[in-house]
Amino acid sequence: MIFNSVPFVIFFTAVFLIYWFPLKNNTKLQNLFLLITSWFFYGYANWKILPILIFACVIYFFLGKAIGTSKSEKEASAYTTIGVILGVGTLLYFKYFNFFIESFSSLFEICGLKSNLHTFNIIMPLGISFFTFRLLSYVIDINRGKTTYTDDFIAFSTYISFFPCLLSGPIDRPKFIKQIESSRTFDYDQAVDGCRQILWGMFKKVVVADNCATYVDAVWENIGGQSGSTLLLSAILYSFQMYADFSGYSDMAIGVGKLLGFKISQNFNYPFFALNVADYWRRWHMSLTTWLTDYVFMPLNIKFRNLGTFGLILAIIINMVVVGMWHGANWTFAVFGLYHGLLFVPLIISGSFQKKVKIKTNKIGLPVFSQCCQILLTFLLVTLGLIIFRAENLSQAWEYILGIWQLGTLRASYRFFFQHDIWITSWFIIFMMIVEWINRENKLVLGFLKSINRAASWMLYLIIALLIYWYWYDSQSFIYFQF
Amino acid sequence: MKQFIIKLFIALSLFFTGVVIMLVSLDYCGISDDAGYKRLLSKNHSLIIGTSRSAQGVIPYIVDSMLIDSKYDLPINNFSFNVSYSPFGEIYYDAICRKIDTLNYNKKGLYIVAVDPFALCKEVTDWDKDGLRESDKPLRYVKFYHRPQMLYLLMNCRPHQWVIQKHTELHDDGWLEVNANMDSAHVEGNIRLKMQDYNKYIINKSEYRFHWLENTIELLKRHGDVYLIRIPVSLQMLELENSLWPEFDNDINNIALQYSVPYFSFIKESGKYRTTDGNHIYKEDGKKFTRLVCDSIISYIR
Repeated sequence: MIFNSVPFVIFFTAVFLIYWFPLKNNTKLQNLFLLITSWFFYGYANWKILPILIFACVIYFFLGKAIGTSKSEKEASAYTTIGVILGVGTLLYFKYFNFFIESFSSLFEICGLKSNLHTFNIIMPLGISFFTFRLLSYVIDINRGKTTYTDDFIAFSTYISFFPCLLSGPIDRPKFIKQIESSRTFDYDQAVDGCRQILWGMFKKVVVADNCATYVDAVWENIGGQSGSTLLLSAILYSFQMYADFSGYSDMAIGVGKLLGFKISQNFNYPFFALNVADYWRRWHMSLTTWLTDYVFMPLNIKFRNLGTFGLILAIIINMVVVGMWHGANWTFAVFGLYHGLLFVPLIISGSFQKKVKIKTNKIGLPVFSQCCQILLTFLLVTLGLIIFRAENLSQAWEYILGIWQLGTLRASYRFFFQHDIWITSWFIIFMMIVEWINRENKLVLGFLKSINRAASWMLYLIIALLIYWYWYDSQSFIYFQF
Repeated sequence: MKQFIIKLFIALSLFFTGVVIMLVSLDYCGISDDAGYKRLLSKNHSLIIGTSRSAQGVIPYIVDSMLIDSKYDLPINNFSFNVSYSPFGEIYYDAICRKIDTLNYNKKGLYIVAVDPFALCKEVTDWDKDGLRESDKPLRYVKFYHRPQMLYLLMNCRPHQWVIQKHTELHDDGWLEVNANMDSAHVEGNIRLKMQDYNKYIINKSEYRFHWLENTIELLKRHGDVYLIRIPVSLQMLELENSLWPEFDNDINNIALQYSVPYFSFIKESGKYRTTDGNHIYKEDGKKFTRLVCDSIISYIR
């Protein structure tokens, strides 16, 4: 059930009404209701994978309890290790088993050896990358003393299975359980903000991302037949498509959470306004990058601390390769991660990779020229990485990148641009970027509209809603569902 | 909470009002979809019945001009849709019942009914796999033929596609004019893609659809004269149809004899008319083909 679909609208309307009316004063019943509806939501996609989620909830609930009530650190560590091996092992099996088999077989063939290894028909459960990370952070944080275990199975399972975040994040940390255990009252301002966030997320997904996809998919289907300028244009559009698709989904998830009285962590902080790659990763898919920073990068950094700067570089590169590989079982994702890891190197050497620099604006409210150039450069570097990310394999990525350097005639791009009506989508992209630029300092989504005339802001909401309706039927599934 | 529900209600009301205004504006600007919104806006006495082959290949204004002095009540309206919307069955029959203007006529109705294997089959791998392919299409719920068709617009509207669909135009008389690129390489590519698609299908003669074709003929005969036609296609498509249903012409002939209606099978003309994709006659050749159909009707009347 995708958010921008009629079944989800009907589902969520029912959930909202039941949650806030008959169940209003009973937190435990509300949580039980949320759990059942979350499992229903998950099973709606494919009921056969629902037992995996339920089983994971049961195992990790008891693991968490065992860690929390352990008599010694050694015992706690042992249970934590079991939890980590189980979680990572499950992920490796479902996501990477066939990839490793195929890679080893190719390696054997290169070495002139025969391989009898066979792949299996493994169906990857939707959202496994997301809920597994929640499970892992639960057991690790209990072991580290950052959180306590919960005795409430319903609350714990709701945290793991919470339907707005189940399939594509954000990946909230175990402190979210406290929100579930606490009673919730309907907050008008939060609910209105949630509605605004859902509207904006849907605009980004349906109007921007799906329209970019029409053009981008057409180009990728026939890379060899395109001019270099068309390939470059398509690459740029893919960057916007990725951002609008994923951040649009996150906005909808967070907005739905707000309507239910929850504060879900922010997942995007306007990454296309980043001044360098490090800044970009502090703004892109923040729940994943902070998770990996806490559980992968920091331990590695501590382990390699004796190697000085080289150790830091190594830790970053390994971390970024894990970021890449988290997205899927393909060498393109590994190279994508490696590419970004290498982009950190100049920043590490210059000592600026952890510096958080604020964007300075000129008299007309735009970034100063030097920072404009940094933003543009960062965007181009990210776009190049996303070509590798999008490709089916490394040779296709290479073909695409080489193709750009032909540049070729701009006439071909011009024709393609207007044939696919991408010029209309360009205006939507510009609109999206202007709105996000104006709102960048505001904690509320579209919060800047509060300072303008009410009629004007309602008119804008109506126009956005009509645009969503206009493009609704062309709508596609979310890119990050495949991860 | 009360304030929130009230504001949400106001917002949704504004939104739906905006949607209705937008859709009605699209309608009154004459913008329509290929599926046939314009065919649902009025009742007519004389009709062209069938799927997309007749929607594109049988041109109403040519029929009107050639049969202007005939005994038939004109103008004729093309009430053909496509193989998903209007294969022969109860839903299409019901739609035809509602479409026929039974009140305002002086002469006999003219009914050109285009038949082809795909309109009379059960396709088991895709189209009819989970039931009748037309069961979730708009013809099922459109009950009254008037303007605007709000329910159709709300349920079937793809404004983005309606506005940007530049290479097709659905005329007020129901003819779907397709302005295809007729460069030979392009057409060959289209034919290849179409054949790749159609070669995947497995079809069986559908007794259900034959039964409703008979019912349709009976219905139309009450209001005028019925002419069954089989539209020519490309040679590749003809070869496929002959392999899937070699006795098709005989089966239709039997029905024609049973109901004493003429059957003009132009399938032997296959390959003589240019098609856009092997399945649909190109508009310029459609004019020639429509004249051929009218000549056949005129000869038959004499």
